[in-house]
Amino acid sequence: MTEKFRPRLGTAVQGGAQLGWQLTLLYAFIFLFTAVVGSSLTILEFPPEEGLPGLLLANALCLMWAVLIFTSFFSLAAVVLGMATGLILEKWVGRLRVDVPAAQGGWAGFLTACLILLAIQAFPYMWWKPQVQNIPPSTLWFWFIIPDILYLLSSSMAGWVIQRRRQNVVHPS
Amino acid sequence: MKKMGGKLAFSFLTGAAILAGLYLFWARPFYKNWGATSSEIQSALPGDTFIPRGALVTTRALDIMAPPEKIWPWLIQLGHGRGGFYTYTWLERIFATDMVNAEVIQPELQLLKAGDPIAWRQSDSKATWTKVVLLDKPRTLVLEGGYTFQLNPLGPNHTRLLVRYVWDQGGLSYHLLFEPAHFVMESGMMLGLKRRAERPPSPPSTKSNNEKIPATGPLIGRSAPSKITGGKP
Repeated sequence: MTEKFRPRLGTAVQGGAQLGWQLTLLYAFIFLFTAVVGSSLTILEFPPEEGLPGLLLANALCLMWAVLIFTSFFSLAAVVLGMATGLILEKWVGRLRVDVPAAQGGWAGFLTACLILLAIQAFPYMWWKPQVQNIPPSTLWFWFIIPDILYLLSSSMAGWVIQRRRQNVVHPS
Repeated sequence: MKKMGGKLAFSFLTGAAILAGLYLFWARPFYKNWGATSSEIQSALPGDTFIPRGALVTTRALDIMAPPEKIWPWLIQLGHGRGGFYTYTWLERIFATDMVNAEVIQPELQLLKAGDPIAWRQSDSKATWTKVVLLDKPRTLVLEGGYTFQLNPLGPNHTRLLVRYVWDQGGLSYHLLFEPAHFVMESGMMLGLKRRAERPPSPPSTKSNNEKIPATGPLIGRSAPSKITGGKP
């Protein structure tokens, strides 16, 4: 095999977009499952005298619908973020020597995600500091901390995979 | 990966289409006036005079196996920084509302009167406040805009709770997002009221186990904003 390695920007951008969308869906499904099960259990604890099955179904469908609308908006943002991350990452990891461990690609992914998060979250935080400081911890965890952790992990993983993929291609000496 | 992504996108779109059909043609007509009979939907309530022309109105009803006098103290505690809204606390807290839902009747919150402000959530924004416009103990509580809570006794230990909600802003955000979310939270609130009113009174020794709410919430000793506009729970 004498395939020459070329940076595959299109693939990285597409992969980033896909990963962003899929992670948004996964997060939405986890939330939806928790919300439907949690609220259904609460309803079952003290059910109405009549119409329990209808209430449970309507409650679940309303939650699903609201999550679908939210997910549609947020997945657009996640796709753009994934594309940008893929683009930066492919460029950055492409500059690494092929023989460096894949873990370095992982670190590049982690740092890329950190920088992007800093850019998109630090400035709004500074502008709206009083409002942000009033946000309850559950809100911060749900809307910021958990998505940030998911993003950091997936970006690190993507960096690792890109470097690993480079190493699997035989380069002309 | 491309194939898998395509498959996932197809499944997502199919699922979304099925959900949209179920939601629009079954859930929406069902929840709009959940639990209410057609005569209850059409009945006049004391708060109707406050409903703006052209506003969207929902009427929901629930049987509570307790007399109105037992439900009333819970009802007039409603509000952020007061007794809460008795709905899904964890869901409220995810959406930036640091809500505490009371499990005990607070004597200091029983002095509600017409004109008093009620907060939907913690904020100084006018949109998050409403005020009491009518109070008829132990039957009727009406908030600004005509949001009515009516307790109709059906027997010595049986009350019909009617909740008429009014939304005067309409718009896409209401239909797409607020309306279904509001049903989840409002039905949760009605069931929360039922649970609290129907359970036997707690012995004094167990009160310390209840979720504590601040003795003085943001509303106590705080004047209402000069102009209060209708908000949403």
